[in-house]
Amino acid sequence: MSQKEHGKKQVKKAVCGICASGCPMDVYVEDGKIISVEGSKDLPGQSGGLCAKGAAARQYIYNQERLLYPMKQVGEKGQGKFVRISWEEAYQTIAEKLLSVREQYGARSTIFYAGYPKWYRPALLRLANAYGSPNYCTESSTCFQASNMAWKSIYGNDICFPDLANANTVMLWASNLYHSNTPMSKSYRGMKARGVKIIVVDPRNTVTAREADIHLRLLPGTDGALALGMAQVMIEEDLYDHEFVEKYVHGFEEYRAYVKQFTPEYTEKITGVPAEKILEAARLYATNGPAGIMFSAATVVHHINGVQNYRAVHTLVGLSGNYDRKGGHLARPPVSAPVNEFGKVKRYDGEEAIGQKDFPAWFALPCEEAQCTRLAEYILKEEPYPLKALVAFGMNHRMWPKPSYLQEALKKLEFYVNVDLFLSDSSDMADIVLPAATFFEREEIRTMRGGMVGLSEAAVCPCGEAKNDIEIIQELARRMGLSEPVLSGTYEEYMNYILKPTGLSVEELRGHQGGVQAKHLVFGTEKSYEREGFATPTGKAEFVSTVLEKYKDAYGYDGLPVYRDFREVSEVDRTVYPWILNTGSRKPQYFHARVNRLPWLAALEPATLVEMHPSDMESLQIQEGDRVVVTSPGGSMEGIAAAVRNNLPGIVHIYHGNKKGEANELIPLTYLDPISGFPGYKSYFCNVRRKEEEDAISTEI
Amino acid sequence: MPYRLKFDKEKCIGCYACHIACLDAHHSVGEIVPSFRAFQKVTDLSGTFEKTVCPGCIHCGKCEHVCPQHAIYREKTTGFILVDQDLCNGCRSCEAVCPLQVIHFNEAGKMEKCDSCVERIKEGREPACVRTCYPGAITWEKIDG
Repeated sequence: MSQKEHGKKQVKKAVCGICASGCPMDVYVEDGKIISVEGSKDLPGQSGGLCAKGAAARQYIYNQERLLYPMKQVGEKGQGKFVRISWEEAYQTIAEKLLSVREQYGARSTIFYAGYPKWYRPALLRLANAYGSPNYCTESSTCFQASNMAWKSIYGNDICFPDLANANTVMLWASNLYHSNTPMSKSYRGMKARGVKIIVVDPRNTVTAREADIHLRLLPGTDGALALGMAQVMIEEDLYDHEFVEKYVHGFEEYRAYVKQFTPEYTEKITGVPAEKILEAARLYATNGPAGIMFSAATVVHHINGVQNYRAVHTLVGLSGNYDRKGGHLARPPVSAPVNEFGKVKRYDGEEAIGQKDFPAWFALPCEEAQCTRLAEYILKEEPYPLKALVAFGMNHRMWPKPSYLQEALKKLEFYVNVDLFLSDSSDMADIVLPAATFFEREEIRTMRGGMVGLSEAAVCPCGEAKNDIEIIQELARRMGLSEPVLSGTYEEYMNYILKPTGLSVEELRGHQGGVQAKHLVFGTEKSYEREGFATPTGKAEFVSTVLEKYKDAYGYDGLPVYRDFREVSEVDRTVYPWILNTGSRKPQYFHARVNRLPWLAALEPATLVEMHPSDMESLQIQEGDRVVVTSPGGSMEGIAAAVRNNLPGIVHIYHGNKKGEANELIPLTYLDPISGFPGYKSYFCNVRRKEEEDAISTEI
Repeated sequence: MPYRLKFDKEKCIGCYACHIACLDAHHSVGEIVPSFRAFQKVTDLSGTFEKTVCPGCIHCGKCEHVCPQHAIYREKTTGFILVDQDLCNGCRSCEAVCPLQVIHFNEAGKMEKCDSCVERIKEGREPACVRTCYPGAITWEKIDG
């Protein structure tokens, strides 16, 4: 039975959807209300834990800012003056507006956008396709996708994560997993206990780095140089996999010639990592295999040389012979459940999408979504054509550089509907807002390890009139009369469509807390490339990317994973902006902007902290707790000074996404990786000074 | 059967989960109050590392011994230190001797502290902080006697 009786209480089994870690959760429900949550402990391997965000989940579902009803703007756009309307009126208005925009300007002038969470994405892509717009885009325009691109440009498939259970050496590249992925705590300690050697690459002396065997403390943004330096050692000392390189790598000789210059001494000059540590780490990684690299979603690619930096890191996997190897990076898990939807729906690409002219490799690889990193300019400058309507799910303008500028752009749209959990500032410019259900208020299919499939239970009925995102998408398709068979039925039928390849139905999953194994399974075996080659133009692992090379003349992309230093490329006057600015490095209590509104989490520390090394604060005569003004060539913000010993001197860390002081206002619109379009959030420049009385006067004028 | 709550600062990763789980276990969503688990910044000898840990009551009993009102007592079945707020006169003697500084006083001036989630234990559940702690820094164990 899925429900245990505890007096009047019921225990429902959900999967936490606040972030993407997917922790199984026991939800105690009494009289239709959630009274308590804790981590599930039903199956082997489930520890019963939750992170701070999950533990605060009642303040998430029962938040004061929760959207409870459809509403329409009655004031000027931007005033955020909303009045309640019926779902009927909302659907009718949206369908009419979207059909009239399509009629007048063409389908491409409507943008379909998916923010966070991600679970309804394939359905929204189907809606965009059926409507006829190439402009389906997501928050992946500044998160993860560039990491995947970097990998795909070499190996041709989606990023392959490390096989941690069987590795002898694990390199955590820019991942403070204790704080970014707290549920991994136990397996990290387990690896340590098993004798696995750990290398951590991180500028900060984090709790995760402190437990490593080798900590490479590089300057932010120099990841590419460090990886090339490690490759140089591996080649120079003949510690690489000759067979893999000779048979399966395209461009090795060119790569070898390029990395030659990255001697440990030269690499030390760029990265700040001592030469002997680079040698030690390269030797350990290359000789104590199998070895895996634990990636982070976007850390390395939030630099203006991000894709090339990550390509340099990713080549180490092939060079060391750890591609598609047990304990290295398996191309497919040994067993998995085949499901429809995620990664299976192709984007309509019959005409030019936004971002296509700016970032052609994004479309060539392809990412199956448009690239909206310059969304504000596309709307305001009508590039490449007029954009008139926006159908957004979870729009968060704080994701972009210069968020205030995007707000201005959203104001210009003829029609903007935002489906969201909370009435956030990002809805200020919306014409209509619709209330979405949280993961507590709907069912969701979840694929699990070992070919298992589970169902996250709906613990309670939706608050107010909130609805499941996919039901909203299905109804919009119906109201507009769009022909899309997969969306045409009920949500139950949609879930069954997801499950179809597994041979299971939703009904068979209900009541099985640990999930059910798929009737049809997909088996992966090592070294698939020996049989299938690589899904790249050359059929090989492209250390020199033929896709990027195509754009050499027109866009200046290099096929090699070249290192370009942001300190040289950006030409910022360092006498004015002496500090390196790193925004958004993970904190355990935050998840971008979304949970700032949970009072228990917000009370943990004052916002927004401007974190510096104590010696830097001393040189600036700034005290802990002082209000400071941070300026960059891109803008300015205010924050509260905090001394953090874990930081390298010379680097200022600020978490993003908080209206009390928005770090992303410091990042100029043009400070982007030219290949992916990702903003250089983690290596820019700034000045910090204590806020003085005259600052207050000048802002009033 | 007496129990003891333990907290291992070394194992703690500074994730604040226990801090929040404690609030969730004792308060409604509208109550914005301090958690029974405190904050403590700890550093290592190198001076290049710090983390913020959240110590909680280990039920050592020092407060029980100094309470002039006998408001603080060791609960018989679990062995945890609890307070009878009706007897508390807010003299703050307990606060002065608490080695971990995890004693609070509410608006009415009555002493408040970790109750080891005694109500949950009666339902067969674990204390909220123990349950939520992924790295296993907070544990509870039975002790002899």
